[in-house]
Amino acid sequence: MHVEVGKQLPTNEPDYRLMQRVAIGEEEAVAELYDRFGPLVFKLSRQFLTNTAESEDAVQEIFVRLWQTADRFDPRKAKLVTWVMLITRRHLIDRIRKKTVRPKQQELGEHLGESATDASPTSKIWLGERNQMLLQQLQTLPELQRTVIERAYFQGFTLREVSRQLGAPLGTVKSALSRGLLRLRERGDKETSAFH
Amino acid sequence: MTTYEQPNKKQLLELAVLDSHGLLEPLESDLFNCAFHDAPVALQEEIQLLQEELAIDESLLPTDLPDATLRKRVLDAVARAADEEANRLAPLALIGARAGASRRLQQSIGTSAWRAVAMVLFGVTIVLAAFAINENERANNITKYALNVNVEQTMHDLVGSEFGEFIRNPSAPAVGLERVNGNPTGYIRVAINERTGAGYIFAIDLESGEEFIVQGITPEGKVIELARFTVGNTPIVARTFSVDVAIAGSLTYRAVDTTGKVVWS
Repeated sequence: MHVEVGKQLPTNEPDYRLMQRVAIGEEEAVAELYDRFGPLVFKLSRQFLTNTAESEDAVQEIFVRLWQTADRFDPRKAKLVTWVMLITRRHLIDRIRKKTVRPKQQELGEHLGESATDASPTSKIWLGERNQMLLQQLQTLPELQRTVIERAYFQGFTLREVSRQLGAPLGTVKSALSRGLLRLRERGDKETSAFH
Repeated sequence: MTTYEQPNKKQLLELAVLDSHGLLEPLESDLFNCAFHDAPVALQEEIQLLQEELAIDESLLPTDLPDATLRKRVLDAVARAADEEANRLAPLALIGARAGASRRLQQSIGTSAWRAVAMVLFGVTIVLAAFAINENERANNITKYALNVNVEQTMHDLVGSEFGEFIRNPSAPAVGLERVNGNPTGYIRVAINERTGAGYIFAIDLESGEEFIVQGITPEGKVIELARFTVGNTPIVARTFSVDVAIAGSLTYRAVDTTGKVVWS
């Protein structure tokens, strides 16, 4: 069943029009896009990258990538914020993958036996001091979920690589990663609400 | 045609989480998109909501805010990239014996217009790729043509403003036609938006003076004329057409010459 049949591209939809303007490089449109999503993109970049300068470079690259891909935005498929953050996360993961400092598989394996309640050295290396809340939440996850999040999300390994490293089926890795990410968000929400 | 096993709801939601985090490989991402389009509306809405919640969730993000100067640097970076893209593609119109005339053209249409031209030229590149032909050779043909005329108007005239709505549009599958006599020269591709009935035909690398009529045929055998072409000296010709949306997804295509003989199918 193809339920989208008959649902036309909403060319009058404001976010669609904004991205069409971004696509042709209209400066006001790019400025509007930055004003709406720049801070969120920067925060996510800070979570992934080691310092402010590197994060600022990444933000510039991400907005260039958003300009390059703007004409592909389809509001029938996703909200604009979802699209922007997807492009952002892909770029950050690509950036991490291009770095040559990812831990070797042997080093990764040394941490597999650690207790889930211990702060993993790998986590500390990759997440740094600024992500204390995230680090704490990671440690509360079951070991498999924590490990696959660290490797796939913060170290840029592909899911197939993680599957090979852990000797676990790809489907198991996907499920653990998805459940872990959802659980992190749920716990993050609780923590955040506890502060208010 | 690529086939795939439709994931169940649980699997689709898992993929949605991974997709929103940018963790799917390109092939898996395509499969997720197909599965999303084939999912019931209620599940599509659930996925959109979940992905939006994941996107806006800041609960575990650092609280750092960007420096105020970053905004200008971002705008400059995008403008610089757009100019570089325009310059990269502009040689289609700038190189060669008539560069002097082209330079005057460049001065007359300004940077922002060049960005728009670059986008169109980039689109042509995509069209060429879609036709799976020797890109360099065809680019040369386009270059030769573009050198002689106003680029912006030319590209608009060549491929129209509508082609962008068809390229990469999953609702507008394109069908390629081949000459029935086996001559590999030339390509015709017909794209039709199954949601609107709007259609678009590209033809490239045809013989000057060649005349043909592209027809759509319903499952009942009814023949509908979609567009007539008389090929001039341009490397690409294109036409729009429109059919009743009820039959848009069921047409097959062919082209006949002026005597009614099928020459492309």
